[in-house]
Amino acid sequence: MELMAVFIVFVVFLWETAIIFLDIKSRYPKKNFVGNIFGLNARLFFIIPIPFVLGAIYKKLDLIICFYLALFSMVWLKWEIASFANNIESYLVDIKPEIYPNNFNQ
Amino acid sequence: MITINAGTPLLINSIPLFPSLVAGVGIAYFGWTFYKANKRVNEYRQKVQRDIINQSVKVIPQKDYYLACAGSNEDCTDEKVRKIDVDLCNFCDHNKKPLDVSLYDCYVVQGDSMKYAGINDGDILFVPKDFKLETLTTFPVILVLRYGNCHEEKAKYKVRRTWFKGSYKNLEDKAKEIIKTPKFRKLTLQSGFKGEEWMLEDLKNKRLKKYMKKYSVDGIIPKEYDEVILSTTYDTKYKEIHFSIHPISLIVGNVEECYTVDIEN
Repeated sequence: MELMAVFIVFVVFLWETAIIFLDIKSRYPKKNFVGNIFGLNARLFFIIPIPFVLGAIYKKLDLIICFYLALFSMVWLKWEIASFANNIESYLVDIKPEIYPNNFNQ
Repeated sequence: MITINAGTPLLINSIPLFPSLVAGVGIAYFGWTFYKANKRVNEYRQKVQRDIINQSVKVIPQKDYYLACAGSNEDCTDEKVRKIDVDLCNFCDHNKKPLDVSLYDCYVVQGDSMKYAGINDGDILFVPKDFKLETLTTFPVILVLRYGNCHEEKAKYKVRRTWFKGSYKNLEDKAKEIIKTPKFRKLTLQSGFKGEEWMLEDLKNKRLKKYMKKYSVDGIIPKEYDEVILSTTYDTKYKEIHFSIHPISLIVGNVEECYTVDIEN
């Protein structure tokens, strides 16, 4: 029952993440995400379930190490999200074409 | 095989060692491979995205810009020409940083007389709006000049590569020095260069005399026309490289950046 509740929370979290990305896109209408946003997304996708899995193992097997690992993974998750928020500009690219200068008067 | 016991305090007594080791190595290997593959895919995705965005230059709205003639004035029959709106693109400098286009006036080149300077027909020239004559200290430099006599609906500007700024009285000696510089040496290798002596004779007997005839009053050059610039251009009609002389009052500004925007494909 608890595991089902945790799973539901996890699905809602994914949904909220998608909404946040749309909000970011509307905040920067003249920009688009660069490719490495998907790398960050993939990392978050793998990191986010870790506290839930460790929490479930801790409840089932009563292993104290799972508690500390869950704590560590939550800290890591917080760092990833804060890093993304602080460096949001580096994940965006202008939709305008880029034109580079000629070498002249050489 | 030791089985898992709930409540056992030490991890090492509860979980089989060898399968855990294999699982740990497997996860680490998977994670590393995933990271490398993701990095390569991200670089490719960024490149494709940038190529798609840059291709959109073909459909960008256009607007009118003043023409800068690089050739015979007879060939430049329009005052303005349509080119992509520079506000809708990121024109970058040599450090790949976007320029603030509001600080520049833009001109579109028509003609091939500046091809040996790396400026071709259809190129967009960026000239700073706050150009000051005092900043003209290093040469050669590409300048946009006004035509002395402009007719309506004809080109008002031209492009020249300038080698010297100073009194018209020193021009012959200065030209001899300029011809010996390394950058001028590159020009002597191009077709249209008829020799040093020819260029100096042309300067003395044709260009200087033309300048004196146009600007002198009673055989004397007034003070406002005393200071001149000495430039070179490739005459596309007679297929020759020659000097040209202009008063400094005709200078509009120096060309800071030049861009080729290909929208023909």
